[in-house]
Amino acid sequence: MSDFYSIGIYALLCAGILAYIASLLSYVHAIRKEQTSPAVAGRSLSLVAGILIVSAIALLTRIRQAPPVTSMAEFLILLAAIQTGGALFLDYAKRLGILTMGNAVACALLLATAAAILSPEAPQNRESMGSSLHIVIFLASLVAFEVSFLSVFMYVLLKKFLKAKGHFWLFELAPSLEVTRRTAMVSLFIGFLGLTAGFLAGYLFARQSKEGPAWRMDVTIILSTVTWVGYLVTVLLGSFSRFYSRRYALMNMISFVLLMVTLLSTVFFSGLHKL
Amino acid sequence: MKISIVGLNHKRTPVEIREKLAIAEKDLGRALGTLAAPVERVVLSTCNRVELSFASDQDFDPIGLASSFLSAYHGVDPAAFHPHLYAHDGAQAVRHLFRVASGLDSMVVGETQILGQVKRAYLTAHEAGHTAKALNKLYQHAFYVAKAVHSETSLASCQVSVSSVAASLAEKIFQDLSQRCTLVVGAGETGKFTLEAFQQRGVQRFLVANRTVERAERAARDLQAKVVPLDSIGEVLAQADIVISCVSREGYTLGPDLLGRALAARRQPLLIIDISVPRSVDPAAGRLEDLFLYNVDDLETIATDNMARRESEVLRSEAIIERETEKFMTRLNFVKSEEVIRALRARYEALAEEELKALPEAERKKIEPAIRRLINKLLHQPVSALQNGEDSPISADIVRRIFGLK
Repeated sequence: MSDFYSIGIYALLCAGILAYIASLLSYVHAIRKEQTSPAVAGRSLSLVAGILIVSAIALLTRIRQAPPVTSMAEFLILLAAIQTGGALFLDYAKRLGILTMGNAVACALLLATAAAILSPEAPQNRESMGSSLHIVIFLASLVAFEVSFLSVFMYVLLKKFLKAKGHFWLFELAPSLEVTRRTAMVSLFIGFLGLTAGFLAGYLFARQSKEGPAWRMDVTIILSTVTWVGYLVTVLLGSFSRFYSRRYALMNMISFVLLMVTLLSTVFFSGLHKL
Repeated sequence: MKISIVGLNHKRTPVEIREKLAIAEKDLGRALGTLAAPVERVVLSTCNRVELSFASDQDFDPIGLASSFLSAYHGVDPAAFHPHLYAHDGAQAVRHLFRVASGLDSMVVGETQILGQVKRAYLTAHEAGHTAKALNKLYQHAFYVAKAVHSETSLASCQVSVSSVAASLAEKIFQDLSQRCTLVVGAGETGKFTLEAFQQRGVQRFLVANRTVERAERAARDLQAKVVPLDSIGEVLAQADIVISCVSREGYTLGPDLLGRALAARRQPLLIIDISVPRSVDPAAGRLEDLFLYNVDDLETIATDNMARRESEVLRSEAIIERETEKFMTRLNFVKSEEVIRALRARYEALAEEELKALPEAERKKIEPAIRRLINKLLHQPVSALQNGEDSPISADIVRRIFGLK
């Protein structure tokens, strides 16, 4: 990677980190001062950060001459971009400002990690379009599951406050119980569809790969299958159980933990999925 | 430029007089046309106030104008309402309009409905051609100030009446109340304000259950609701999303068994507002999953907390309004000053041109630069005074009057 591009990538990542930090500080200020206009500023700053990340991805794609999913650093940058897109969409559409606020923290950490481990040299094994599609679909489903998890968490908190008949100013930033429920269920469903599609894309790619049937015993695949079953149970519970039972919320959270373990397995355990 | 607001409101005028002077929104355009005076005007008429805004470069009597307009339009003797009129001029009028648009002058402080009413009143006047630069700028700024107050403070969310707290809780659970069904248990007067608050938030479907069917039918007529005998309440509970219980008898009307069965048949939460004294809903029902039970003490506690918050939010809102009033007045004076400076320069140059025209060409060429320098020197002091901090409505108007500027 030439020096110019290298500096450009790092500059965009640093600018993105600063924009996320500024966004988070705006939200904190909004909560402390009980004002909504700093929250609007926080949202705008997250949008700026998103644009900076997308620019970094575009620059990486140009450098690598391939989709930017060739290393863990690129994976993290792509994850930050999709996450920011999802959070901002829900913030604008459903007043879920709390998602943008949480996303700012997560993405600042993701970008900082990515900047720390980003290698200027292009990896030797280039990913194909098939495997890139598989990764992008999984990332999108990961973001949908994150939204579902956070919505469930917010629902549990809101319900607790309403039951306790307390008042907390965060109520003003939070949407209604109905909106959190619908968001959790819809995003869970989208995530489940994405996970299933990601499996199919991965299966089609694996059939053509040189590793052959060895893919079936890969740790990540085993854990992903368990996660898929967990989410299937959650989707079914949501379809049949009364309103929003504790079982549904618990299954959602357990499945999300499984998902996180699966993600970590790509870093630490899986030989075939290792980035 | 003189800006004035004259009117009467719920604070100083009984409803019997206000209702005689109210003007329906659809008649505002026509009503404005009946005012035969060369002033900009906007009329705001709501259930709690009738206000007329005027603006003009020429001198006018705002109270006289408003009084004669209202008297002529409604055929009411001015003596009947004159003592209740208030009038604000200049910065006070600007401040008053900002307060009204922000909901600070409303019966329910912080309500946002008034902003829509002010916008419609302004648009009606604007489309009918009764506003010009002054009122256009004033009202646009008022909308901006109202938006700033609503976004920079949490005034609108500080509900301080039991009924509005109950309605806010319902919105916190159900988002869109227009799609929800409310079951009213009991047909007494105690629930009236709560029902009104729910109606204002958009609830359209009501069921009324009462021991006495005749009283239930009377209440149902007001709400355009369906009547349910009290004994059959178990059959309709599953349909209701919100239950407002205002029963005046001993013993619990709703218990955990009945409510548990209703919840099992629903896939939605259930909000119960028990404003009966003594309570008519068994407190044990509050332990049911997905059931939210609030009695009158709970609502009053929230309302009291909100009252304390509202006081600080009102102070913050007033600070925003004060800041924006100053900004608007400074801009108004700046524009006024600029107009006066241009008019004064034009006057001097016209006078110089008149004198120079009478001279032969050679002499004119010699004297003209000196004349121009003289004009600049003569203008320097008044222009500096108008531009640099001594610009007040009085200064600009006095200069205009002294020099006979248009």
